Amino acid sequence: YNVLNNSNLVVCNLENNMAQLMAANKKQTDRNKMDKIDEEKPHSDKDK
Amino acid sequence: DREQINQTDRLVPAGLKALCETCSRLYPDQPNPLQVTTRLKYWLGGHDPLDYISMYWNPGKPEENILPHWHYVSFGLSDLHGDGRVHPPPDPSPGAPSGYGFELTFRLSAEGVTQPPLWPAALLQALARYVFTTGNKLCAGDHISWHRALDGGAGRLRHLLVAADPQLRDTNTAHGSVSFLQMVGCTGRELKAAQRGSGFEVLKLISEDTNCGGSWLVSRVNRRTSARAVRLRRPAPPAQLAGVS
Repeated sequence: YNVLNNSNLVVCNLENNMAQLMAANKKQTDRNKMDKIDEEKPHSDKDK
Repeated sequence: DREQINQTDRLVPAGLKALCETCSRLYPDQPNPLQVTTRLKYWLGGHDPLDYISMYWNPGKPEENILPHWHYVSFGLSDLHGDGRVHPPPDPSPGAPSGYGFELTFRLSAEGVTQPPLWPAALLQALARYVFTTGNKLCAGDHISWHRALDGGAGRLRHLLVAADPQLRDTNTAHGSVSFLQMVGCTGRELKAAQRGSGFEVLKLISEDTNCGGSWLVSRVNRRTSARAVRLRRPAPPAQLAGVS
């Protein structure tokens, strides 16, 4: 629920919050990996 | 299992993990406290800088007139992630601060409440927003003129003093050192005394008055009067200037 009319603040327990953060970080790590692969692709095409 | 532990270590940021461990040492019986968190994180464009505010139950020490209370601890003024998403990249020199080098705490008397009230979390967010906006750090002994009841009601605690948290000691994290600064609610008269003299002196007077929450500086929003010694103290007479009558 909202905390003092601030719709950005919510109450949750620590374990839930850590699980959410880990999922977000994993998503970001995977996205970074994909970006890296995409960046390397044109170079390897050029090399060929 | 080891692989899973390694993965968890990688995914839970080191700065956050170190602060959680410090809190766990103080509250080993509360591994999963309630937290106020943000839907949209500050590093994704949100306007609340503290990613988490933990709320622990503290029984106090009745034998020393320290009231049972809720202990709020912030996460976000120090560098939780160490990857430049909020704070500049960490300074590797020994003793360098992590982010702003401190986190905020608050102790609220649990008189008459069974769940931790949430207004202290909004208060800590507002203070953190001030720090992020201005770049001004807070230090123990400082005073903050707030000019309205801390809980939004009609109470007399309308300002804040800054003290070192009596239980959470300085912590070294992978991204630098972090100290814990406790916000202490005070009356207008106590604020004036701090402005005229020293914040530390007023904190000492508050801690010595049994009506004021005890030596751990627990804030009692229902407190109607200032610390006794502050009440009794007369304001200093106006300075005599030579040649002026």
